[in-house]
Amino acid sequence: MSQATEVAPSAVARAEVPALDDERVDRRRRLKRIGISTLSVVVFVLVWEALTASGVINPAFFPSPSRMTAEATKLIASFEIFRHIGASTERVLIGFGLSALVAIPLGIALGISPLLKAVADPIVSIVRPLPSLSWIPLSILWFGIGESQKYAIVFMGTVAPLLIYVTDATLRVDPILVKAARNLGATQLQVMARVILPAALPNILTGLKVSLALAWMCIISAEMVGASNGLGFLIWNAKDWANMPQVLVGMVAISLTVLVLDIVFRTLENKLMPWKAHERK
Amino acid sequence: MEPIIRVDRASMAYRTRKGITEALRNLSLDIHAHEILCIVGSSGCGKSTLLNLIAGFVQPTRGTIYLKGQRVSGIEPRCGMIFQEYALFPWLTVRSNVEFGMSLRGTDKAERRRVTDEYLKLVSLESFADAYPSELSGGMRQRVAIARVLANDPEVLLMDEPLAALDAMTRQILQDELLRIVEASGKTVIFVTHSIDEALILSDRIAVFSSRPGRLKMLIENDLPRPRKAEIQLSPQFLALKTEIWHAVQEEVLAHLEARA
Repeated sequence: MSQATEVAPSAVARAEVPALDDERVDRRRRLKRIGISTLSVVVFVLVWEALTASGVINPAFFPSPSRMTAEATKLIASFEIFRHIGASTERVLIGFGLSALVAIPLGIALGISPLLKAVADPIVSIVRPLPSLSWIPLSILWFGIGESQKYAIVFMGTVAPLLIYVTDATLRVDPILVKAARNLGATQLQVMARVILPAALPNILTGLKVSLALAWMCIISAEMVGASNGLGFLIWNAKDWANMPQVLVGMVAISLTVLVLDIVFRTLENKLMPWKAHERK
Repeated sequence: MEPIIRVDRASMAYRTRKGITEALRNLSLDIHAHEILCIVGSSGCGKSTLLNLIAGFVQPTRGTIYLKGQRVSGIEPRCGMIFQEYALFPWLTVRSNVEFGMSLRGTDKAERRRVTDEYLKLVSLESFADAYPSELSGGMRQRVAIARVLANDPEVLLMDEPLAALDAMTRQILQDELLRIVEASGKTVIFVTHSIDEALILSDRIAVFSSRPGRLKMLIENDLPRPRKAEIQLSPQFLALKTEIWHAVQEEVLAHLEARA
């Protein structure tokens, strides 16, 4: 893929290449790639179906695609699956939103001030390695098993890694940009808002993307331990009823939801960073 | 006439891991309004340090820098800096980069646009106003950086090896271009370079710095006739000046190499 996306060294050089041909070749390659990917899924499902139908795989342990489809249709028709997806997504977005609200400004402050960083570093290093599951007992004690406990789990599981990402992104801002802005007359505050924030933005967004995936892990485990809805609950509950097709449908639903959120996120990224759009091309 | 910048017995020393590095020692130098002064010297002779002092990024350990008779005590936007690495803001279009200084001060939109158009035209980049820096070649980026500083209307342009990152051909072309732009703007220019040819083509005066700690070794008037085209490099006058400077620089380069050995 990297050959296909190589950028011409200068705008002048790019202008000399007829753009139409480039696009046509690009589109043909993309279609081919999509074709192969689709085929891969189809073959995978067919082989799986064949293996369960012939009894090589015991359907009690790993249900066939057709059984899963039937289960999924049921869950979709009753709208139940969307209720669970909605519940989990809401928890992730609120918990993660709170985490970002704290971690982004704080991370920038830590990146700018060596003193603050020295204060926060030991605390962050203690919190960071803790898996979000280890917060479950404390969070239940503090918040019960209601919604706020779910937000707290997502928050605790993501705030430390996100903080580290944002601090690092701030530290990696090229000092010469700050120097240039100061030379043009920017105050410290203007430098922060108009240079450090946009310069760190690409790496901050990468950090957000990685921690958003973490947020999903947190919420699924929290829902397995104590919840009455959400995808984690759906899977755990289905296991209790030995409903393996439903377990798998729940797992696929997680994948698809995260995929959709990822697409939304990438669109947002392009909107926020128009100058990156052609760099990626 | 009072000099626009007076460097008065300035010394600068840094504390590094290897102890104290003396970058400049007891340097005195007057820069006249509207002149182009080139500073030539081997690497590590304190050329960039001097620019940082004049721009107010650092304060001298001893001595004083005056801008129009006033002591430079903090970052000084009246001395616009042009960097070897361009230092453009990649998230802003060419136009917004050039407008940056004005937008910090809240200049109104129409005025901003007028000034920006003027300087984009001066550096021949009108048609690239909406491009992002990453879409431009090195030479074009440096022209944007020059327009950005000029639009901020400084008294002095500080140029820290602005052409060093460019290939030889682009460099030659941009030298001519730079001369045209600077002459049109009427600004005072302090231009740091290690190319003697570049200094001879651009300057009114040339200051040769000694190797670390940087001191003023030689200050010569460059009276080559203007306008100077590339052909001037073949004239006997040019070669005589070049030889004179080269002798001074050569001693320093050798001294620098021996000091490191």
